[in-house]
Amino acid sequence: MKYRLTLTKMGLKKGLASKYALIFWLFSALISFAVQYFLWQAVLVGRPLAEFRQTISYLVLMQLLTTVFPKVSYDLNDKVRTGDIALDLLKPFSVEEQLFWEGVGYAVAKFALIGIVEFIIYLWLLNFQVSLLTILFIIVTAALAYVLYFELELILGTFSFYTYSIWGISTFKEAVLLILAGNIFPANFYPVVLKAIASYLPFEYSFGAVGLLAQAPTWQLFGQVITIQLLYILLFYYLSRLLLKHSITVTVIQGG
Amino acid sequence: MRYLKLLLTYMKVNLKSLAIYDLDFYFAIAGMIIQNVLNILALRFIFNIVPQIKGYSFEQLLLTYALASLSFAIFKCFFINALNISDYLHQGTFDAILVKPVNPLFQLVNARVDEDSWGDLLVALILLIIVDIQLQQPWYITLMFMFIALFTSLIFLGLAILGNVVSLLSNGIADLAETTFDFFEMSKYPLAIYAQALKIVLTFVLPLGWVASIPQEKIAQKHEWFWLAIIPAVCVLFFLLVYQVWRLFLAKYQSTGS
Amino acid sequence: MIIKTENLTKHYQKVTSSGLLHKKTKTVQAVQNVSLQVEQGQRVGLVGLNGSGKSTLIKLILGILQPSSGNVATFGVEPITHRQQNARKIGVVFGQRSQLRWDLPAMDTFKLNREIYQVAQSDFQARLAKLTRMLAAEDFLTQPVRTLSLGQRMKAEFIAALLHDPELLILDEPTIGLDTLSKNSIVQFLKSLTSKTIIFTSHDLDEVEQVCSRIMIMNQGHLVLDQNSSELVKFAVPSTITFTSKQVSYDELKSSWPNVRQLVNGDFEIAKIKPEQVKDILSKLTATVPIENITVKNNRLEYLLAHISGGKAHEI
Repeated sequence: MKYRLTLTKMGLKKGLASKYALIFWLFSALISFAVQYFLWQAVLVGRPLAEFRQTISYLVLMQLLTTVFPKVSYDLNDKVRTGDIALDLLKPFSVEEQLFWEGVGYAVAKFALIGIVEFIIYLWLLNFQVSLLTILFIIVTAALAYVLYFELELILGTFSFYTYSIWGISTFKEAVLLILAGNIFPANFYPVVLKAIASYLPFEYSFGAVGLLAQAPTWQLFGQVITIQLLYILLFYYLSRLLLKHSITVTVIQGG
Repeated sequence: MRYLKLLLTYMKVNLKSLAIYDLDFYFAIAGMIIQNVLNILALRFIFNIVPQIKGYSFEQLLLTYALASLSFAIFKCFFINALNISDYLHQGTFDAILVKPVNPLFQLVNARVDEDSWGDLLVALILLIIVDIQLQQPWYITLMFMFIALFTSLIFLGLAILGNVVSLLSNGIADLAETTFDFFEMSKYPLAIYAQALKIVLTFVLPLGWVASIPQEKIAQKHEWFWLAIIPAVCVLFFLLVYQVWRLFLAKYQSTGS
Repeated sequence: MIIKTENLTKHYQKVTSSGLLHKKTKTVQAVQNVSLQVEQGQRVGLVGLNGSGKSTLIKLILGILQPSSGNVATFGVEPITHRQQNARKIGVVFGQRSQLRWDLPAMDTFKLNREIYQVAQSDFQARLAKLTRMLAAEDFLTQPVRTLSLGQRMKAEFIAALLHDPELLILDEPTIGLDTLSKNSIVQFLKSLTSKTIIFTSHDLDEVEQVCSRIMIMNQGHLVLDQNSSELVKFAVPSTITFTSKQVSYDELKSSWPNVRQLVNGDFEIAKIKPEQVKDILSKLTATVPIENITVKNNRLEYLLAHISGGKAHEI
């Protein structure tokens, strides 16, 4: 446990050390918020204000998750390219666990520096009228979404063992997230078919589901979301371990 | 003339380095095409909710999107390395550029290209042609837009350089280079959707309105041909202003560097 | 005259710690009052420890940096404003940064440089053939640079820097990190470049002396020594002999070798041996003591730095 805490602290420090980079990350998040804000204002003109606020707050929440969630695939890719992964493999903890706990620390730093502002914007958009229960729902599902996303990123990162860079694959991932996770476009505006497909795939459960729950915070939906999240987490846990193990044993570490 | 010849050599060398494709390259191309398609679909979904946005139909909004994408794709294909200027300075490789008898900015911009952007360029071009046909624009308007996009990409180049200069002057405190991508997001929509103050900023300060919105309004809608001269002139002017900032920065680098 | 500096001085601000709002900075005197002249055809070795100001001086000469005060003229002109013009006559090799395209064969960088420096095709071919032969580089110029060893890469860097036949060749730590074999072949190559003016910086005095007829030593921004290498070689620097011997104890040794010291790792050391004594001591030592391993070394640079005054090395 102590080792995990140390890793988390390391990640936290790394985040705080790059505080300026993070603050300008916020700047860029605000630009994209402005674009979304004006776009949806123009789209929903003449409709009840509540609908606009719902939509834009959903997008801010998605923005917040995107900010805080880890970019493990890049970390893993770096480690493979520099050969540092060899050092990590020698440690008494699995690579994925090292990545996870360090990522948690970094995420805390990101939340403290950027996420908090986005969260305040989120609350402001809802006139600060959010029930405690809703916030609790958001926290629990967001935490599970975090773990799920971590696993997806980890799986993506294993491609590093087979190609020189994973930039293209990341682009591909972002394309998938764009539509199937509902983190750029509100999932409840999807056509019915797409909505149905997305609701079975894992991607929505690392983003859009949290937002949908925030809009309609019922115990029933909550139960449904976390069940599916847990199932996917379990599935991907074994899948990512299997893939990582396979990749490490099969391939020669580049530059190592 | 000399620089033209040099540009050709750079292109030849850069193309060669593109030939080292691997699996990742194909993923990137596929990813980019999918992203474009999805962006368009998302726009389509919006029009499932409302028939028009601030007087713009789906096709018209698609034209704004296509124009911005074409301009940004040209930037990505040819000027993308401008985003990495600060890396060259931090790693000290900039010194190796300064000791050559060619303009350093020219060398920097040409030192690397992004192979994945060709897909973007292709998609943007196809999209522009399709949208123009849908809107029943005469063919010469499409050509005019292609001509204008060559210049409007200079706006992104200017912003990328500016972002790097700010980042370097603040010792990496303000890493603004990546913001170029967010600016692209802003340029994808008509100025009409933005608040009045932001409209003014996007016209006179950060000239993003000139990328797609203004060309669309003046040329596709109003057929005011003299804008074919004004828009490129504005782009060149903006770039020259940024270039002066870059020169000032270079002088500062030389007096304070180690 | 190729290079002339007068009271050349450069300081810069270095950030020592930075908080959210304010930063602490300290002024680093990188180059202080350096006056020197380099004539055509001279080979100058510029030696100093890390941080002595060698690289900054080089950058001032190249027009990369603006002096804080004093003057510098390269090829008779102020280098900042004439940087691109001077660049045609200068070839530069930076040991720690590459001008080669990482993902492509070195040959492609050469072709690019041919355009950048506007070299005629026939000249280019002739020089390329000659340099390739001199450096025995035939085998690897068509392989991607990222697959080359450091030694091969440096050879390619040298070719890239010389293809436009520069009058002045500036080498900033070109041998850093190289193995002895590669170092030697670079040194041999440099010796054969007889017609060029060379500035060769390094922290290895011995290596520079093999190539250069004139040695300058910098220390903390000052040019502390400027001397012919033939004179400098005569300057006697004491040596240290270190050896391993598992079979004798320190006390046994001490009786016949009063100067011996034992190091923490169990090795023995005899320090401050005058040059003329080294040979004697070595042969006596190897004859009388069972030795597993022995090295002789002298830190000439550090020793010289302690014995310099008035621009020359002096015996105390």
